[in-house]
Formats: sequence, C-alpha cells, structure tokens
Amino acid sequence: MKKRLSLILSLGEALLFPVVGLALYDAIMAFVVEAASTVPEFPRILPLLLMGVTLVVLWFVLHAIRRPRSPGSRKATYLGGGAVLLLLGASTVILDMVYAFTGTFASLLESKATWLYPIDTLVVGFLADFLGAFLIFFYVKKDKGMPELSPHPWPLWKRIVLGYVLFPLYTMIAMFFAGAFLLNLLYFDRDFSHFGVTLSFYLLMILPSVSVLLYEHLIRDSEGVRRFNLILRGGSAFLLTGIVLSLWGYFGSLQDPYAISDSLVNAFPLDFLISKAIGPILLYLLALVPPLCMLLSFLFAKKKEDSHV
Amino acid sequence: MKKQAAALFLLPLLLSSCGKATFVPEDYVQKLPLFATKDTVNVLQITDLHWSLGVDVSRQKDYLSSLFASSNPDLVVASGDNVMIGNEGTVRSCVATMDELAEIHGFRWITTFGNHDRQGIYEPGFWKRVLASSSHCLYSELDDDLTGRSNYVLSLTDASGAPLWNVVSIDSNSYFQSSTLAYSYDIVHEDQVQWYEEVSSATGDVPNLVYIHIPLYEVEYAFRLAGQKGGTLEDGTGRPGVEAPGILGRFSGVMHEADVVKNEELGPSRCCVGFEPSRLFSALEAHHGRGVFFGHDHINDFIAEYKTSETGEYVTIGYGLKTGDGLYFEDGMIGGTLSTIHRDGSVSYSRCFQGYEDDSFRKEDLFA
Repeated sequence: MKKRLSLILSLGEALLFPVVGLALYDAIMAFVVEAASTVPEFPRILPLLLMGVTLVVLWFVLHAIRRPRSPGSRKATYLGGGAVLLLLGASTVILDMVYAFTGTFASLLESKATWLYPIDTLVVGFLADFLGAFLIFFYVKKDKGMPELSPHPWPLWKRIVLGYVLFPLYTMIAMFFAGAFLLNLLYFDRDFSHFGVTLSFYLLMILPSVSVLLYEHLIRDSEGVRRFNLILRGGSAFLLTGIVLSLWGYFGSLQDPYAISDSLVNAFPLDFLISKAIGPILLYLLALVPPLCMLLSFLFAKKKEDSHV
Repeated sequence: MKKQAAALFLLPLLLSSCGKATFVPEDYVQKLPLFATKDTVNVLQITDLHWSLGVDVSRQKDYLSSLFASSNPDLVVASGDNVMIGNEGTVRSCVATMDELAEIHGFRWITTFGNHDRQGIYEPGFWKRVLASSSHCLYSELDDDLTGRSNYVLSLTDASGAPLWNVVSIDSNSYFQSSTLAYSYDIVHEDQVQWYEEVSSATGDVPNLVYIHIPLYEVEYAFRLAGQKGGTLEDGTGRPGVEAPGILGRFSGVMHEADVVKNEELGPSRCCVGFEPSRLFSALEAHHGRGVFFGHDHINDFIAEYKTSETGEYVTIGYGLKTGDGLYFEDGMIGGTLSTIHRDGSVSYSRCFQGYEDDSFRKEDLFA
C-alpha cells in the first residue's frame, strides 16, 4: 500500500478511536439497563445501538484495509466489510426516518439518548452507506489487486484466537473505557473528595487505548533490534505503569470505599446493577495481563530464536 | 512556571481539604403553608421511576398524570432512583415532566436520592443544579459536611407559619465497597441521624414523615413478626420461624423480592438493606416520627406499624409502591403510596394502584 494512503488510514484509525469509544460507551450503557428491564425499550434505543456497532465495524474495516493479510482477506474486507456497513447504515437511516415520521422521536434533535440524538445516528448511517458503497465500488471497478504475501508465521489457531477474538475484544473494551474516560473529563466529580483514588482509575481507563494505539502504530511494523527494544522497553513500561496504577487503585479504594460509588459510578454500568466490582477488576487485568503476555511471549520467542542460532 | 503549574495541579486537592460551611438546623428547613387553607394534606410517595436513556417520556408522563389525577396529592415525594443510566437530557426530562404535572395537578414536589440516581452520564452535582431551577420542586441541598446530598426538611405550616408537620428527606446514599469483589448498599449514617434529631428538635418535634430510599433493618424485623402472626413466605406476607426484636401492630402488603443473605448478621431477607443497621428508626421514635417510607425493592410493598419498646408509639414503616414500569416491577403492584395527614397530627395511609391501562386506578386503605 502506498505510504501516503497508509498514513492517512493510520491517522483516520487513531482519530476515529475516541469517537468509536464514545459511541460504544453510550450504546453499552443504554443496552445494559434495557437488557435488565421487564419492559425493555430496545426499539427506542435501536438507532443508538446501531450507531455504536456501525462505528466499531468501520474502525475494524479501516484497520483491516491498512493491513491486508492476503488477497482473500482483502476481498472479504472490501466486499464483506462494505456490505456490512451498507446494511448497518441503511438500517439506521430507515429506522430514523420511520421513527421521525411516526413520532417516536419528538424531533430529529430531541437530544435524549445523546446530545445530538437522533441526528447523529442519521449522519453515521449515511456515512456508513457512502463508505460501504465506496468500498464495494472501489474493489470491483478500481482495484489493482495485490500480490500474495509470504505465509503468515503463526499457525491458524493462533491467528484466529489472537487476531479475530482477543484483539477485537481487547480493542472494544479499550474503546469503551476510552469513551468512559472522555466523558468523565466532562462529568468528573467537582467535589474532588475522592480525587486521590479516582485519578488512578481514570489513568487505568486510558491505558488499554494507549497500548492499542502504540502497538498498532509503532511496534507492529517494526523489525529487528528496534522491534526488540520497543517491545522490551515499551512492554516493561506498560507493565510497570499497570502495576503502579492497579496497586494505587486497589489500595486506594480499600482505604476510601466510597470513591467508586460516589465518583466513578458511570464508568462501570454493570457493577451497580449486580453489586459486583467487575469494572475495577477488569481494569486491573487489562493493565497487567496483555503487557505481561506480550513480554513473556516475545522473550520466549527470542530465546527460542537465539538457541537455534 | 513549573512551580506554578504544580501549584495549580495541587489546588483542587488543597481546596477539597478545606472543609465546608457549617449550618444550623433551621437552614435545612423550608416552610410550606399547606395547612393555611385546609385541615388535611395528601402526601403521595412515588418511587423508583427508573427513567433511562431509552425512556418513553410521553408514555410515562401520561401514566404519572393519571396517578396524580386520581390520588389528588398536595405534595409528591419522589423517594429515589428517579433515573438510572440516564444522561443530562434524561434528568432534565424527568424534572420538567414533574414540573409540568405539578402545574397541571396543583402540587409541589420534593425528591430524595436513591442509589441509582448517581449512576448516570452526568457529574454528581448535576441533579442539584437542575432541581434548583425547577419551578415546583422544593429540593434543597446545602454545601455542607453532612453525609449525602438530599438531606432537608419541608415544614408544613398553618396560616400563621406555625409548623404542624415535617416531611423529611434523608439521603440513604448509594453503595459501599465492602470487599474487593462486592458492593453493599449504604445506610443513613450516624451524622445524618444526629442531623435529623437536631432538626426535629429545632422545629418543635412536630409529627413527621421521613422518606429515604434504601430500607431499614426494622422492616425486616416487622416482616418476621408478621410471620409470627400468620404471615407466610409463600405468599410473601411474613417470615415465620425467625425471632425478631420489637413489637408489631397492624401490617399489610407483601414482600416478593428474592431471599438473599445481605449480611450474616441479618440472615436471609427479602429487603436489600444497607451493610449495617442504622439508628434512624430509634431516632424517629424519639422525635415523633409517624412514618418512614422507602423504595428500592420494587416488588415489596409491605408496610407495618412497628416499635422497639412497649412504652413507645408505633411508627409506620415500609415500602412505597413502585411507580411505573421502569427496570423491573410486578403487574398490579405499581402506583403510589398516599399519606393523608391531618392538622391534629393524625395520619392515615392508602395505596394507590395505577396501571398503564385506562381506568386502572384503585385505592386501598393500608390497614383496612
């Protein structure tokens, strides 16, 4: 792929990440409460949910376009991703129109579920339609193809588990907490009464996003000694940061048991429905497990490579 | 520059440790001369509206309007969980709807916060700002050191301004991280109980109704005593076979929530109580509290006359009917709870069942 296009896509991916985070956060917040309700209002929030899904799909399609693995996966990205975007966009637009026409929406700017609801869902729907159609058109009419790449060094199971399960899951959780972090910049507790503890959780919320973006844009395409140094130093720095923030958050919340329930309750929607501290535990795991796994697997692979030499 | 930046960074931390203003009990009291023109005042408790991001405001407004039209309140108390996982728009809609209905049906309203009111996409002080600009809400929140936010008193007076009744809102707060993996419900803290005692004394210890959100342990004790008087777990009218302190008078209603061990001391209970007992009930008994009502457990509407000693007067304690179909509810068990208070200090209670269908209103005296 040409360098300039790759740079544009890379930038687009990075800029889109927080936007997706906000949309996904809103969608999950809305979903959680309706899922727990006897009379759920899913139809009313469906455009919001669709917007969240559409933006997530868009981000992953951009990500896949930037990193084609093979002619086959590239075709799937352009045609399949394009079709999914078209479908999601069309569904959203049609739903918005029907709701506006039937009076389900008081207006196109009733600002209930989000500040710009439902017009924001309409804009995203049209955007998804345009991009989806463009991707399909581009691939069918304009694409010049790509050469076969050399076989992927990983076995198939590893590619599926890491590339198609764990990475997307980790990224989406990172997006959610990025959205929570951004909204907490607006909605933090002005009393500052628990600031000493909440600061640790704000930083923990942003850590997964930073790790995704740094890995994708710095580490992944590096090679040789530079790659070795980036992984070792970067991974160690992340792990150390994760340990410090997790210990700070854990002991801080033990010492101040009202910190989360007073000041961070909107970051952990499921926790306060079921009275279990899942959110903080998840943040600790996200801060510690990925860098630890990355460091260990890299060191293990390096050792194996050195032993063969 | 670096020192200035550091100082600026530390400023919020420093300011937060400076403490807040001190208030006298009278600062928490607002007067409302409802007895100026009448001898009887209807106080309607609504609770657990649970409006969320997806709320159908129009439908919920129609529902509330039917309830208010049928129950004819002079004062409405929303006892918490008005909103759960909403945003600023949801809060504004809720307050605007209540104001509009208050204008139409001729009442004033107040609210106390529940554990979920904080659980929204807004900063913790947002409710206060919106309620401050409300046209019909008499919410009051002082910038004090008292635990919780919604601690205040509405003094119902006669034409001369003499207090006859108090309606007290006390914040039962939200959650308490009781362990690494779990949150427990919070309680009315000791400083709040002392505050209630001071305010009651300062206003002449007039008869008062107290509204909180998270239930008190005493309602579980009353439920167990009801079991000794024929109530059964099967129909949710009592828990037999378990000792409980106190003395039970009349009772009615059911508890249909699941049996859960919230803490080892209490054992299995259908009440999602706080992490430990609070002294509030005893304080009510000592300060002419006539009733304490809460919400929180949507499918409980058990209410009883209860006291802790032979010599004291009964205090009516229990669950207000859950209002509306937000989150979870039981068919036929939604509406509001009406306290009809009289100039002479007497009070009677009734449940106002209101469904979403037309003509589904039904009023039932509590201890008929």
